[in-house]
Amino acid sequence: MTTAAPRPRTDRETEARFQRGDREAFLLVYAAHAPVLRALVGRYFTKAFEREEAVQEVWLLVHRMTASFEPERGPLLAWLRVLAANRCKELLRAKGRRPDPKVDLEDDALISVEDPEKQVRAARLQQAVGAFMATLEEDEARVFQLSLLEERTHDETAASTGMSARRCKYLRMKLLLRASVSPTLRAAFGESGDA
Amino acid sequence: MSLWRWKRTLVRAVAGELSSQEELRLREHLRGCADCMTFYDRLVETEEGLANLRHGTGGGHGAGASATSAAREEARLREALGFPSSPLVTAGRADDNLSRGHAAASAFATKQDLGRRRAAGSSWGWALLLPAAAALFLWLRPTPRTADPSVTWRGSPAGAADREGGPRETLLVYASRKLEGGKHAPVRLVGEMPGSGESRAFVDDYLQLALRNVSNPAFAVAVAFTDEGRQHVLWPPAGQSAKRLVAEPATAVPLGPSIDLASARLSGHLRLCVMLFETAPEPTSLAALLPRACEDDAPAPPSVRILRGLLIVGP
Repeated sequence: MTTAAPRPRTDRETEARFQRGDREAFLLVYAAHAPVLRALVGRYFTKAFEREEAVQEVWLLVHRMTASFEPERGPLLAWLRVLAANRCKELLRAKGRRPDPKVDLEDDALISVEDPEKQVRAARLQQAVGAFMATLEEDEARVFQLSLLEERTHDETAASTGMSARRCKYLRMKLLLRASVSPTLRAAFGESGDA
Repeated sequence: MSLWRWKRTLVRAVAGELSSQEELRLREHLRGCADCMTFYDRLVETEEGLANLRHGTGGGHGAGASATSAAREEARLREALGFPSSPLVTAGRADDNLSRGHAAASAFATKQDLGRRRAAGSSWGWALLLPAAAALFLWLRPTPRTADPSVTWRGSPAGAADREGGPRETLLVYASRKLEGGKHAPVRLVGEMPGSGESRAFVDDYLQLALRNVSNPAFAVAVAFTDEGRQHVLWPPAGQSAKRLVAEPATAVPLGPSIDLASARLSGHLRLCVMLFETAPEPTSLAALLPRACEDDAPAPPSVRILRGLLIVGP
């Protein structure tokens, strides 16, 4: 069983500074709550580009509205979630769409990894990735593992593989492109993304 | 065709190799290009899906962004808010010892190496080499070679002019919160029209309009239409006729001083419309054009370019 990486927390003082519009406090709040809001927005917008645009809109709105946050009325995250949900609905309305009624928007555990269904899907995806890696040359497979799966830096990948960082960078982009058109991976991602 | 031209930039974007300005330009294109957007979505889904595998999750929409996409998100936000950019936060996609121009060059060099190696290893080498060389030629040909080939990659004015269909006029909408003592908060970009389609400001904001990529000569008239159908000419000032805009390519020209939205009683859903004329518009023809200017099917002479968008002014 895996667990999500611990996220930075915000304290009362940070929240008070956030309320006053302090830039550093805003960034701390962003660092602490960005994953949750990203997941929330992902429930309204399933396509990556739309989701990214909506996340940006949400945080710009949060930045504008910092003064209206009142700590005595509830926790910061709840306020952020309401703001995000309302902004997402507005954006959908502007596009003439509505939230998918099948999507549960009230789920508190937005980035929970304890879901057994998710783990089964992850296992299938793992299998698909294994099959894809078997089609790669040895150096490509190593870069794929280190750079795309383990998210190592180019320098770290280069140090582990003995290749130049420049070549690692090139291979990363090439493999990303190849993976995005692999039918095996497409099928596996389709299952994990659209389920 | 568009996807073919943007493909490499899209891969670089998802790999976290673009500068924030390059990324901004790419996103402007993506908003209007369904093919590129689909391709981009697929790349992001793959990149995030692979990174999420490490955490034992099956992915899902936005369930967990990869380090690269999280860093890109933060960089975009910082750019939009005018915050200083942080040191490269994640996966170190841009290494200290590699400039982005070098990366592009190296990608090309490595492609050649791979092509050579594969051709040598095959008995069909020569037969394959000719189409490969032709493909390589086609791949490289559209990029004008200058003393520094990376210049067009970086989105210089030349790069901007190289975009499909040439540079298009863009209406930039900036806002800045009013502060006490006649001061104002830092200016933020709230929309680029027609790309953004919709932008958002607040009634206690100052609003500033600017035009980018204006082709000379151009005479601009900017109007806002309120929900109640009220028409508010933002530029030129009341009693004045449209003045000729003089602009360098790819630079922005401000349209007059900033507008105090509260004093101008501009709030709610405003339909912004900027008309660009090649010659100074006659008052009579302008008066005929104005009432329906914000409508997509408004009759207008072909020489008049119209930029439209929605500005939501909240309380």
